[in-house]
Amino acid sequence: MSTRNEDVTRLVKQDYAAGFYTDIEQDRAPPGLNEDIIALISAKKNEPQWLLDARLAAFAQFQRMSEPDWAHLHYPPIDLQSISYYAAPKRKEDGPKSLDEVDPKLLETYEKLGIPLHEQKMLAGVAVDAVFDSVSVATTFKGKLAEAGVIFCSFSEAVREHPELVRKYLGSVVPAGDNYFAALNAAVFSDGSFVYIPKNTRCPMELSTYFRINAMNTGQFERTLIVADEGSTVSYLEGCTAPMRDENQLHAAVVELVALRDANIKYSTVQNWYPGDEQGRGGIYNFVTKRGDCRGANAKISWTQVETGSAITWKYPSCILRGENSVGEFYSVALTNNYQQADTGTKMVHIGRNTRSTIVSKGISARQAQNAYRGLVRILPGAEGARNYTQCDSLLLGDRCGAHTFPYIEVRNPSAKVEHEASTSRISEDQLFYLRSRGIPQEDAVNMIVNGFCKDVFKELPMEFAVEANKLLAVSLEGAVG
Amino acid sequence: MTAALNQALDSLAGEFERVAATLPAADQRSVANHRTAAVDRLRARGLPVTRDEAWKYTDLKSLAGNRFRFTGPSATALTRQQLPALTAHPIVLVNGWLDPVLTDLDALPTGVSLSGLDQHLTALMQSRAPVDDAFQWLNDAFLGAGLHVNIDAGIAIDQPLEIICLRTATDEPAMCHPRLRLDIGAGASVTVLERYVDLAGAQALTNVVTDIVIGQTATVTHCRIQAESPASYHIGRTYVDLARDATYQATHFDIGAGLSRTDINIEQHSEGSVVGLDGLMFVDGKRHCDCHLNIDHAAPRTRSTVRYKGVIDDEGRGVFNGRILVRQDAQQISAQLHNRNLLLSARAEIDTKPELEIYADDVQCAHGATVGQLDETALFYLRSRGVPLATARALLLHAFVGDIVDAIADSKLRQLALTELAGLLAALEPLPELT
Amino acid sequence: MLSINNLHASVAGKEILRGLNLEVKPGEVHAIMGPNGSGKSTLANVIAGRDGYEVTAGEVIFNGKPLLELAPEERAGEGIFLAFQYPVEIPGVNNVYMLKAALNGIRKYRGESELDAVKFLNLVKQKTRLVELKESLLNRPVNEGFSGGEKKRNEIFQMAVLEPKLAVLDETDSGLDIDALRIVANGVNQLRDGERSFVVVTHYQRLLDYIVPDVVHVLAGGRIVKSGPKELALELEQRGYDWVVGQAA
Repeated sequence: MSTRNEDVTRLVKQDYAAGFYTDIEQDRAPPGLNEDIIALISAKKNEPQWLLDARLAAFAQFQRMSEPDWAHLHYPPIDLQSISYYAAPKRKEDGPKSLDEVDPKLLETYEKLGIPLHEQKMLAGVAVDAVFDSVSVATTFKGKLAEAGVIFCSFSEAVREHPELVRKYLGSVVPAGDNYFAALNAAVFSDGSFVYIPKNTRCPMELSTYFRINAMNTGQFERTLIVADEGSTVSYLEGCTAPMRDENQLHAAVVELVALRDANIKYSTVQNWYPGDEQGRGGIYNFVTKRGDCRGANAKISWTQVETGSAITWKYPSCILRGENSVGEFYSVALTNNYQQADTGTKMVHIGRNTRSTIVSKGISARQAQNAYRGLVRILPGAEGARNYTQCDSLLLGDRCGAHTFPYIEVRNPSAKVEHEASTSRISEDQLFYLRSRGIPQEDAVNMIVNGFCKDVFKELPMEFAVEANKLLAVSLEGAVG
Repeated sequence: MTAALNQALDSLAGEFERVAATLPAADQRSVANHRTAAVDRLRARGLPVTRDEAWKYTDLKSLAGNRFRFTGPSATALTRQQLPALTAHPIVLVNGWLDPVLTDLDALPTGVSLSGLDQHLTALMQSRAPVDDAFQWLNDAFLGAGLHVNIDAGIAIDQPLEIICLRTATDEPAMCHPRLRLDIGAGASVTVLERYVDLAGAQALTNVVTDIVIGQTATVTHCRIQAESPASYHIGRTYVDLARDATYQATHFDIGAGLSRTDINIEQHSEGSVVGLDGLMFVDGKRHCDCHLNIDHAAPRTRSTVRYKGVIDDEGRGVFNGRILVRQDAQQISAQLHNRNLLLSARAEIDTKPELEIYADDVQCAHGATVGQLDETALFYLRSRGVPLATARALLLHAFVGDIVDAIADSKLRQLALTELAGLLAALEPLPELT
Repeated sequence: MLSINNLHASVAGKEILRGLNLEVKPGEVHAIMGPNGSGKSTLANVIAGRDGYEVTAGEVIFNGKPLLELAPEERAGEGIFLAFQYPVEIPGVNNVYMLKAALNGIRKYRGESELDAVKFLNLVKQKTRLVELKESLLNRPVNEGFSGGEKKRNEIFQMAVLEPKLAVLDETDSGLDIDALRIVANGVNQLRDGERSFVVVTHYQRLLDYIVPDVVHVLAGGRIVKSGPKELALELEQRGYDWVVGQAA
């Protein structure tokens, strides 16, 4: 038996369940990127002057920057002027006071995506912020969370209700000028989620944000900020989908995490943006900056991502390990199929003593897809006793895809110990044969092996997501190997 | 480009203008054009800066402080007996130029022919497509020094062919741009020892290009030892081209020069070729050593195994970049690359980047990199047996470099490598004589 | 010979030994038994001076010298030997070479002259017979590629060459089949000469069938909770540890 190309082609089928479009009346900005549009976005959100000033300053910085070209990605230039930077479902007056006032069409959309927003129908123990194009349409369980002192709301609401927290932490992990896409986001960001966990508080439920791109010719530029105060713990989940379209759409988000002393943030993502069709038409361009800052001793930030969607993924969730004994983790499964391209990985910057980081990356490439791991482990002179362990494995399904590994390791402290291992191969014929000889159909056997390959990452996901991720992988691969 | 690098470039290009007319075959239009075109490309592109990915960790700005003089061939007062040679009849380059007195042309083994580059200039000019490599262009601009070795098909040579690139002391900083071209005939087998040595007081820029073209089923064992003085800059390019079922077995020692940058580019463009490459960099003082390795698996059933180690002490900085490329349809590839590094002092630094770029699926590829200090558990084990700390450290250090040296098949070569390393390691941790 | 008084030691901030006392006289064999996590290996490693074991109180006196102030190799020089529970593999370092560096290090520490190569090799050859160690293993890197049994035999072989005054055997029986156990024990017994002392750390009574102890101690919760003659080991085998631990609590 062999992994011949025709087998792969026969078996890889596109089945994107989230690809529908919701026909809803919209309020949207004309296409174009300029100061007027930025002022318009700010005005729509009734933002204070300081935030508008920050946006304009970021825009000025952005205009001096050029698009990065170092990633192992090939795509035509993105015309930023053709994109609309604000699109929101029209609402009556000031917007919904409660779920009962949310447009039923929106509730139906989320229901269809498997994210019921009515609390009685919801998964117990998971609070959801639902972001639809440029606005948050609903946040559930806010009352219950408030009892514990936890703030979980849309970013726009946080700017209004908790300006002191937003001002203190916004841009403190990812400054506006950090990179081209972060600068763009800082200028035009629309909505996203804000989380604050007070001191010594264990967040009583999982928090999650569900991002949905719906409108045509728009981009989504959400901004998420999570602050875990001293001794607190939170687990946050993020999911993303978009309709099937022939045009590419841009998603350029920024996520900032701040973990103070003894705080623990677990951030999980299942990214299932529309990946484009079998010919590589359409799909989301996903350029995301995610970074966490372990500011105090014993802080811990753990990123887990399952990346199956998007035509282009450019994403490096990172950890700044400043506090001594702080811990950074990155667990990733990135699956690319058809003409998808991913350049993803992480940065672990060890500043404090005895800081530790673990990187486990599993890349799967099928058909013509290109999948790259890019990572940086940097040990600064003060990071006495720092430890890093990195394991990067790539699986190739078919002879026209590519798998690439670009780890950067910079060590400036002799007491540090850094280990990096990587391997690239196709599915073992012996394993496949063994399973089939036990009576397991080929497609199931492949799924079983791929799932096994991803096990070290899936076990890091919260239970509900792990099941979801398993299914998603099976669908995205639908028999990717013969 | 920075002001410092502009200044360095002006100096290098200015030196070319000064000596262009005196270079070999300067009156041949094609040769002169080739040189001028190379300088023009260099001027247009500039010297590499740390924003260039391939030079991310190596800053050349210290070049600006020097005005390197290009030196033509000249007689030396050295005698053969004074040469630090391993073999009886070494091939000797003095400041880049093949020395007809120190080299005993009559003593070459049967089937080996050796000459300067004069008759080969036209062939060398066509030997490689222009690549984005400032130092290759610089070498092209001064094309003329060096040697050409041809080994007839089917010849097996049992003695190592020793090439010594000697720098003599000069009053002002000097530079040379030699080209070493080795054509190994089909089925031949040879061991080549390529050495870079400074005589006391040399302060120089060596910018050498070594081209090794290996014919079908031929086997080359290559040992390259760069042990120039800390006052020197060493830029070395090694190109290896393997025909069908050819074998390249190499050991590269980067243990000298204040700033050293070597690029090893290996092309496995035909089926069945095998590459085994070991390397060791040793960086102490304020030295800087950068090794870039690029293995191109362009044909099916090719194999490569790389073990490259770094020992970094004092304020030294080591850089390693090892890339394995497997091209589309190059199936049934096995490629393994391992880079291990020891940091011995608080101000030492290592930057390493092993890379895999894979476009075929029937492959077994892996790489690994480690950075750390001497294994604490092993140290404790030895000390609990009564081995003093310094001896225990020395034992582990020798063990770390030992497997690279032990893998050298030729006993004379192995002994030479041991001798070269012994001095360096002794300075770190003397190993008591125990046998 | 060895006198441990009120020893407290922690690993990674966690206190493992909590006031341990132990007295070993020349020529005695003491068995230290106890449940998992009781501190047996910690005791062995503290005696040998391993990093990461922080002594917070108490003292260890060996032949009148405070041991805790000494580096591991100085302790070896004083005559301490630790047979590791997990002997370390050291690629690239030759077994015999290491042993010669060790022996000469110890001799130098004691102000004795170094052994010449011929005498050393004769000594090594003679000692290999003691534990039936294949001579082919001698010139291999330390423990690299050795089977579990070969590693343990290599420990005892090294002990035989270095001739310590006090040998601490840390779970030397773990991972050994019955034949290997017999060979290892036999090697140890041949080194019993009325002067040399042994501290035998073990989880099971099995090893003590072969190396018969003078005293058996039960270690629990970081303290010795019961001591007795060799029959105590048999009783522990039959009744388990809970009985003693419960009695002590």
